[in-house]
Amino acid sequence: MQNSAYKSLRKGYLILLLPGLLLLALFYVYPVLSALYMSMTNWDGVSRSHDFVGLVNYGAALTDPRFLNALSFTLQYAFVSTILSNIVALSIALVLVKKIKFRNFFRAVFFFPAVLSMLIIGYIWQQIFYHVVPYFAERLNIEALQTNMLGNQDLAFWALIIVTVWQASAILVVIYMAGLQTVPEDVYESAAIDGASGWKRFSRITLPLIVPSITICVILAMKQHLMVYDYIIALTDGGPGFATESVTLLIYNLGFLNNQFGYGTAVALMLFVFIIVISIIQINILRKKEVQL
Amino acid sequence: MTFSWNRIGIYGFILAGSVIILFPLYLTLTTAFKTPEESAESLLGLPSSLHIENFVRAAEMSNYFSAFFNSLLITVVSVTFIILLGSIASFAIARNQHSVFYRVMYYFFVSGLFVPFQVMMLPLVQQLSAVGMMNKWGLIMLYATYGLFQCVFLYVAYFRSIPREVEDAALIDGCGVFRMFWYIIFPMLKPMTITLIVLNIIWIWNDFLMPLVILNNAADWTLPLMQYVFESQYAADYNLAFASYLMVLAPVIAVYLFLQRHIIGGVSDGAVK
Amino acid sequence: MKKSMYLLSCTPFLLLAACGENEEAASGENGGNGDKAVVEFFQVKPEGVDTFDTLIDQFEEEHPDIEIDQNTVPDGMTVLTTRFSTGDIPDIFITYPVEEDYILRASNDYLLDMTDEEFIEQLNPEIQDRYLEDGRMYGAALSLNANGVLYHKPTFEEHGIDTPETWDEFTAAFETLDAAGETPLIMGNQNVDQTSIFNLNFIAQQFDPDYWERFNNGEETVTESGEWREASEKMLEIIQYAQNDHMGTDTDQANQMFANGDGAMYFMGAWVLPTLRGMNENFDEEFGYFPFPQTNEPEENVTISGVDVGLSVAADSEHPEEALAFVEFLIDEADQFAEMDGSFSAVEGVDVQDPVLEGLAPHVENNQVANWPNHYWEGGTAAEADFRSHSQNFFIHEDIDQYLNDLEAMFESYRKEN
Repeated sequence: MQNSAYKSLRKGYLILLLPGLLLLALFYVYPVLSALYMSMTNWDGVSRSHDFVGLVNYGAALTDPRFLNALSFTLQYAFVSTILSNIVALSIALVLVKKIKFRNFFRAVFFFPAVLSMLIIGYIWQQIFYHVVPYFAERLNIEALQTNMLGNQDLAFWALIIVTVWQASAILVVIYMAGLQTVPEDVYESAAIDGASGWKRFSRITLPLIVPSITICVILAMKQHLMVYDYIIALTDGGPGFATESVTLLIYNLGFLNNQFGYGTAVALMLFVFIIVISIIQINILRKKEVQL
Repeated sequence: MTFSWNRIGIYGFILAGSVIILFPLYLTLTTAFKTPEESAESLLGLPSSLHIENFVRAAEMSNYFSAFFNSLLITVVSVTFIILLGSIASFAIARNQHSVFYRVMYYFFVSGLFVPFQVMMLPLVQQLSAVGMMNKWGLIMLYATYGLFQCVFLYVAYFRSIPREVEDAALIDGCGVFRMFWYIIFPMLKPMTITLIVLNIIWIWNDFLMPLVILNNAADWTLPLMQYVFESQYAADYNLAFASYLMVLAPVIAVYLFLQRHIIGGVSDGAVK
Repeated sequence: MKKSMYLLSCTPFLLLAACGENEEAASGENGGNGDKAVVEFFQVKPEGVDTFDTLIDQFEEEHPDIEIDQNTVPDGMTVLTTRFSTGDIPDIFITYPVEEDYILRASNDYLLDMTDEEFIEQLNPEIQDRYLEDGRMYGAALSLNANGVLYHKPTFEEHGIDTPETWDEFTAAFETLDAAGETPLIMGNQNVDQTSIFNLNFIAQQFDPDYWERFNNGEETVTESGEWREASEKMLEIIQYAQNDHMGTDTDQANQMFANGDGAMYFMGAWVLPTLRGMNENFDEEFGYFPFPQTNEPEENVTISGVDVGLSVAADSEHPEEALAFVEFLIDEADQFAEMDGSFSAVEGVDVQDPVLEGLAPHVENNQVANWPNHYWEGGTAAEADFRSHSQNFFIHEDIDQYLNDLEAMFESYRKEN
């Protein structure tokens, strides 16, 4: 082979990389670096000057009851919806991989919510919580649900969970189905000979084999739920009171309403750290399970 | 198939699940076509006739068609950018894994998957306003950038399944790098390209936060943003509100009905890789 | 100084930005108005778009060389803040006097000094003087909103109730209606906005601007104040008469319920009138306004009335003359504006045109008005938003001590910032 062809190839590779690299430099690296800098200033977004304050904003966040409230809500919300949506999705996937009639139709139904706008889904459920749930609750005599769940500080959390699980399970069903289909039939057959059945077969054989799918689904769901925003805007706007104010909503409010650009950016960077830490913990826990196989 | 309680349980479970999934959509569809009187009579019943006034009013009140075309333009242009720039960058990265520089590049591209948009949100607003890009072109640039993270992650993985011999043969034939990529490599990426197109369309078409923060001018609004703006005007009229929701969801529903197999296949391929 | 560093480091974007700007320029030329002065009017009242469009058309007819570009966006006030932070300031925009945002912008020299413009003399000095900042005015008041009690006339007549003028009459009316099985009050407390539209009535009556100055200096407390406690007690007394699920009803739904006649009273500002009219054809015959009776002394009661449309011009606007011409035009056409907008005018000699709003006219004409108290607060819009959320909490838990403690901490946090 000629040397010059390879030389031109090497140059060619670099040219292929450049456009993407340029975009990343402008719209990813630059804003992230600005964020790091901005988080260490007291800039209010209006004044023509600002001061460098070091890590003051980060320290302030850790003692700010509003941030801690938002963080605690976001973590609870993310954990509960991640666990519930994974349980629901796995149950559905386990049924859908069986030889049932209209399997493709059902698969299409269960995946459907994944393609819809979270904001619009939020608005539709808002109407359901206002009109439909109390309508049924009155007929069934369920006192607690006769008023709008979104107006109640405890129930608003669960209303958000319902909507989240309804939509977030959709994509997880498809991932679990793909994972389950890689489990070879003969594994089940030999298990059947050994007399394993039902729950035992699921927990001893199926579950360990699909740990990679679980890892993907849990991390995917957790990251998405830690960044919840659209549902909050459509359903509660952070209320009642501050009961459902997520960290993302707090960042938006700090930046655009409270004129605290520096502090808001610091909070955003702390959210980033939380996402990384939680992802690493999850990967470690789940990888240990994989090794045990 | 023999009769068994087990199977009844399975079908019962799956049917109940389907009802829960389809109920909000059934409600949207029926309510959108009803008059307030009909809804007052029966909240969940079928409309007596197809009242399209709700849709006409909803379209008049907002700028539906303008928002629709904005969403379409932003989605199509952004996805094109993501696929083109992402595939060539991935090719360069995947074929140079022996070089430290390209390995670092890989982690650099993929690192963005973990950074929430909120981190960059406030600086970006400064940055884009300073150069007058708080409009759909600025938004497209952002999508083109943030789409690359996942795009490179998935394409690079996919390249492992494509043998290098083809490229060597092409080079020996004197085919330049760019022509080789376009005519030989890119077509071989087709399954992953479809996956990426699907994932990115779903993301960009439905995205709300970025348009909210970036689009400063009503003429640039996308469908979700338009819904957000007009929500308070629709919301009081239950039937009108559902008509407007349906109009925003309809394009997606239509595409899904025709292409669901490819869409589901694409998403599951993307997730498992 | 640091600002310029930001701009400098953004230069690579100029290249990219060029395509965006060409686009705009090109569309301008297509419209054939390349020579026109285009003035951007940034407007945060979605319900006012049509009114302004009508007036803009008239103005452009008189001034063929000027084009007014009305721009309304979601979360308008936050977008405006952002645009100030990046120097991309609209030519004309709505500003409320006294408020922290206004003072900050004026003191940073972002706003054009209007003190010596002739049109300022046409404005009611009681209102216009709120714009005074170090003896200069950087805004012009065009209209006033007003906040009172809307009521359903047939229900009042049926139970023989006259519009109350004192607190005792007010609570008696609620009692009568409640005993008769009516829904005395509609509230939409799921939206935080509604909470403050209601309870600021008490705060506005209790405290004057001098108080807020001492308050902002930390000389007054919330928790140890009898007035704050009394106001809170009165809030709770009223809240109990609201409809069953008032915490789960949002403003839009509450509007609909009230326009349907599902409740006897509703606390809302005059800006809601066009919306309610759209929901009920007979609105003007069936509904009326009366001033909120906070105390038993009718002459001590006040109506909250703040500047609704007040206009400022950017100090570094490229077309200050043209922008000022438009402001002057709006003030000259205040009659038209008041009629279409259904608001009180800040221009002298322009009477209220709206038949329902007339119910509040006695207070406004008597100057028994108070500005929105939140306009005096440190922290401006953000403090107001927090106040609303704390109020929402309060309406749920009905715990006065908790409420006052929360407010104290909230106000304290905004004082510390400055």
